[in-house]
Amino acid sequence: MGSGAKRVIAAVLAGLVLATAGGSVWWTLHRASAATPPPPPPEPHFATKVERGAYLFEHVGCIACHGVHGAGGVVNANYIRGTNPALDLQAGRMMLDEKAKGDAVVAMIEHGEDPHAATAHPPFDRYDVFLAQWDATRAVIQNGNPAAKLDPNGPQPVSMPSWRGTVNDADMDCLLAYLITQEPWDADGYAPDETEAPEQEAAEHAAGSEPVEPHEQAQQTPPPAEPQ
Amino acid sequence: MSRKISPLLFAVLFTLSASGSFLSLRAGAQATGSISGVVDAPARLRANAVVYVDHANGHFAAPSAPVSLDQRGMRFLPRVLPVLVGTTVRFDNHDPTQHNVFSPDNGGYDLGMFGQNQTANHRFDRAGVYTQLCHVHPEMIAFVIVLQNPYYAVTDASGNFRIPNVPAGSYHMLAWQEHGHGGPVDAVVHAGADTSVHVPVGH
Repeated sequence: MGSGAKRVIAAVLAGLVLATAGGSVWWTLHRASAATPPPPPPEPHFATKVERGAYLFEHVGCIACHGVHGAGGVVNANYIRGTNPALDLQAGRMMLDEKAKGDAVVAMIEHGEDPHAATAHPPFDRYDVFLAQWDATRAVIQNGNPAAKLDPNGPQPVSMPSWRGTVNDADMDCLLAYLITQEPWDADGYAPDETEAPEQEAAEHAAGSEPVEPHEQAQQTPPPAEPQ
Repeated sequence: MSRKISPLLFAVLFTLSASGSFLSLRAGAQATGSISGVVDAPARLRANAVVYVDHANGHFAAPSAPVSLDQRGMRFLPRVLPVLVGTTVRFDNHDPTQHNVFSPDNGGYDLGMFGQNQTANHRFDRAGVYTQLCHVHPEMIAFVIVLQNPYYAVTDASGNFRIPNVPAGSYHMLAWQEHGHGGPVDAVVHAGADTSVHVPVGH
């Protein structure tokens, strides 16, 4: 075999080695980048759905806008409310104004039950309102929500993004169960009251920026109608 | 002669004026008093309680103009709105975003989505409590309390209330608060007087 032929064979072999190495590198890189978002790190094992919800709340990113434990207080420039909605009060807004009601819903989720299945035998009063708020909250996670501006000429505040495709139904259950457990129940097991005093409401209404058509503030007792 | 007629004229005039004032009393200027007082309740149940007469005789005409329930700053104002049955509530969206108005209570209603400076009306023809929600903003909540008669008031931060212009009579007072309820408590109203009652409200 001539030296020329040896060189050719060496070159071919070298080419094969390089191609194989390059291919495996490409394959490795391709596998790593094919799934977007990147494949999740090995999922920690959670004993409860609430624990998984707590994990998701931090790792999906809810915490960035809604605060640690959903306690709110995160400033959103030019958002109409100034700060993003707190989520640790969502239980109260879902009619779970007593801890026992919150516990009942969390128990359903832990047992893998759909709260809608309990409609025939609701475990507490105003259950239809609870379900309506349960569904509405999930719809906001799925669909996102544009943030309303405080100053119409100011910058667009950060909006709630859609988490469709990122947070599935089962994970929404976990998130909501977790948020219910974050409600700051008082010593007697009651959710904090979010109502403002009527006089405070009236003052805030009166301080509204733009003039609106006059109408009766509703806290006033209207003049009684005459019996007919 | 004039001496004989004068007492007769006087008697006639007196009778006419007396019957006249009696008639006017029946016709409209009904003898009314007021009911005032405070709800006896834990702090969280004191404000925004609706204190109302359970039932009053007669049929009461709903106001001809709609009553406003504002959507402003990502909430309903006021949070608690008592109205007489038959009243139309006008929902005013004053926020630079779309709002929805719906309630699952008592058969429910859904007025759809509407934008800034738009309104949607709903007439409440059945007495009851209607939880007022917004599909797209589950942080918003209010309550429309539809009542049989117009004798109601909303408590202030300290739990005080006053219901004016209540016809004289005996009533059962009830209270509704979003976390509780109270009554019945008896109240006897005398014309031109205020009746003070304490209404216990609990969970």
